[in-house]
Amino acid sequence: MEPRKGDQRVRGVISPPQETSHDDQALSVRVMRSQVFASFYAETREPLARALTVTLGDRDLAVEAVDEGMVRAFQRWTRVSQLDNPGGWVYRVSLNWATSVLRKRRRARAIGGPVEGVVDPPTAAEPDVMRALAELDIRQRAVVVCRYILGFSEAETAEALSTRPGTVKSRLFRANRLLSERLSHLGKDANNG
Amino acid sequence: MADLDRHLYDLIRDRAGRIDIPGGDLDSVSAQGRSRRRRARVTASVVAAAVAGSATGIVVTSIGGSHHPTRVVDPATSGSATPAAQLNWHQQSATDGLLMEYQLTAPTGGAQYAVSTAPGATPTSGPPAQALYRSTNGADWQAVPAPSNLSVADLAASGNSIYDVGTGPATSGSPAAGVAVSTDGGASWTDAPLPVSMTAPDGALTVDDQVLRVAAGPGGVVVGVGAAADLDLSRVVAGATSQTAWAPTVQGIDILGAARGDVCPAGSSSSGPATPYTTGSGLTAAQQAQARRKLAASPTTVAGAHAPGGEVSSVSCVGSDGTVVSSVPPAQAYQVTSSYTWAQLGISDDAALALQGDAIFFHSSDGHTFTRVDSQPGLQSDGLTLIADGRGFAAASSTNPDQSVVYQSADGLSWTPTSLLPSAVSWVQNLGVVGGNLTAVGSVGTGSQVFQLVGGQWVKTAQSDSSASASFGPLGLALASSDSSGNVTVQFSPDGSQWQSHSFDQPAGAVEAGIMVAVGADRVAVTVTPNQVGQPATVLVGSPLA
Repeated sequence: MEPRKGDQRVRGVISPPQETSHDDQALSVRVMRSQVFASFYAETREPLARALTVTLGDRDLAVEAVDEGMVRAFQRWTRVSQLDNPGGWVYRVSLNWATSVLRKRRRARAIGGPVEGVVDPPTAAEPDVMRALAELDIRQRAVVVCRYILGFSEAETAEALSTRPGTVKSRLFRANRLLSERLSHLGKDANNG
Repeated sequence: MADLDRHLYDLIRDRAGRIDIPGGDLDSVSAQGRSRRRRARVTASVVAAAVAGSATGIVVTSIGGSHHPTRVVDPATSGSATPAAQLNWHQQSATDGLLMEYQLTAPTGGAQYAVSTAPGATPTSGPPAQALYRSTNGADWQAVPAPSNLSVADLAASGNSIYDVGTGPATSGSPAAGVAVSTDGGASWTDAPLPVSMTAPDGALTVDDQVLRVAAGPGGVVVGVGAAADLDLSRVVAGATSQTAWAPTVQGIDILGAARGDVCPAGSSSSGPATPYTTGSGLTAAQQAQARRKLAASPTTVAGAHAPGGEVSSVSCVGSDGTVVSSVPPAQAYQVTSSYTWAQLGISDDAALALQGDAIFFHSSDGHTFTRVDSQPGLQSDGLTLIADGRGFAAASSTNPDQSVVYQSADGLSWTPTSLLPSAVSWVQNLGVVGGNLTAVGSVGTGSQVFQLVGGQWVKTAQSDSSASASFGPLGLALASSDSSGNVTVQFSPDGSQWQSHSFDQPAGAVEAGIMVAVGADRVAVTVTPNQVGQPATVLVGSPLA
């Protein structure tokens, strides 16, 4: 299954920086670099945060994670900006950071009870859809999100998730199978509608 | 794309698009990034100094750009105990390394065999074609003729024999599993059929994925077949439709009815098709109060009563933070309206095991004639790993939900579970024996951890923050991983308890496509493949210091 043409894609498309009249060449380079990062940040932060919210089921954590990923991207921007898909890099770094936080929270809850500040999964609009997504393990959900929300190709998804293209395929296959089973009733609605 | 898929992903995309994201602060992000850049420069110097003065016996070796010359810190000069087999590293020809991490084995004679992709090739999409390779040093690999009628999935060796297990041409809609044996280093192969019998009424069973594992040792050869199978209930139960909910059991299947309710702890909802839940006791008063607040704030998490049907393998109670709180058997979560045995449905024993998610085991004492072994409760298809451990065999698989269990067997016929690995271990990546102890490399979160079975208990001895390729070999155990900047870390231990860490600056550039580590009799070889198509791989070779 391929994303349709026109699907939203998070690429970290880099807009041409505005010219600067500053005489200092080194400072000029830094200014341009900052402007390029600013464009990347403006274009990708919200889509990445939404994608990560679906992956994690926790908007606040997702936003925090993407901000952390953006800080790290800025820190290494010379290298990250050269990647084919800087948005994929930020998604992976943010996901890794968030799963680490979740592990710490689980430990904290085992010792001291529930942790405050954890929001409910985003189930307000289509509870069946989001509940079915919640049934996937996080690795399958990440593949679904990369392919169908972020619009990455299989190769880009594999790169973003540090896994093999074959693994992306198999996770997507299993995710599709489960989602189709759980949500077969929606197909009727789609066909009728 | 099917209409359902298209509609489904439209919904997901639409739902994601409507999530309200609070505004960001670019200035803050930039300021933090700048601050960390400055801190990183200072920290790099501190790490180098700390390692040089360390008394831990760790050897740090770097191979990097010209600004990072190779650095070896001799523990002897820092006053520490000297661990065995310190490694001295060099970088060698990049065109003859294997790309992907697949199965390795080493029969008598010191050679290693691997199932992998073509040397140095980066696939552009899809699973790469696999082939059989042989190496005498873990770094230089030559293609070996593989069985012509088998797509190799795993291999093992004992004495002079190499055993490949794989799938052959499809029969009755599912690929046939088989074993091929070579006693001449892979030059010629003999077929050894596996008596797998997956039969069901026409069109009822679909086998769409198989995990095949083989292990060979003095106790014979054991093959594990883990098949992911689907049942079309309407083909075997009159009146059943895709809306009929059902669950597999040991004896057959249960047809499920309405949710019973009150099966999950307070504050959690089920992940099954319907939504049994409770707001009753089980948690502290404060936890109940918090759960009620959350439930009131988000009623849709518990309001579903819709049962779309299909197979229900387990029902998880999900906490309000999205984590699994507990698991409930389907027959406990839902009323059972009727039951059928596998025999009544015309489904064979092997097919029934596949539908239950259980692995099927075969044993051969001569390496050529395989017989079915009684099924081992708990040894499931998911995450199946199988080795010969010197005394017998060991196997690992994941149970529901996400608990990995390691079993041992003296004869390959009956299996006994070891103590449980920590629940954080999602699956066992590798099993092996180092230092005389059964050792498991487990996937934990986004990283890997090493556990040794000591005195009947699993003891964690090492960890990697990012997911690592691991290899057991005559020299010991090695893990290789990379960080988000493409820097590679290799952790090596001759016995599973004393560890050396070696770091390499971006051996394949800022982003690598894959890392494979192979431990041989006299060296550790790490192949790092760059992300760019057509670029050769880098092979890092570590040999024990003389």
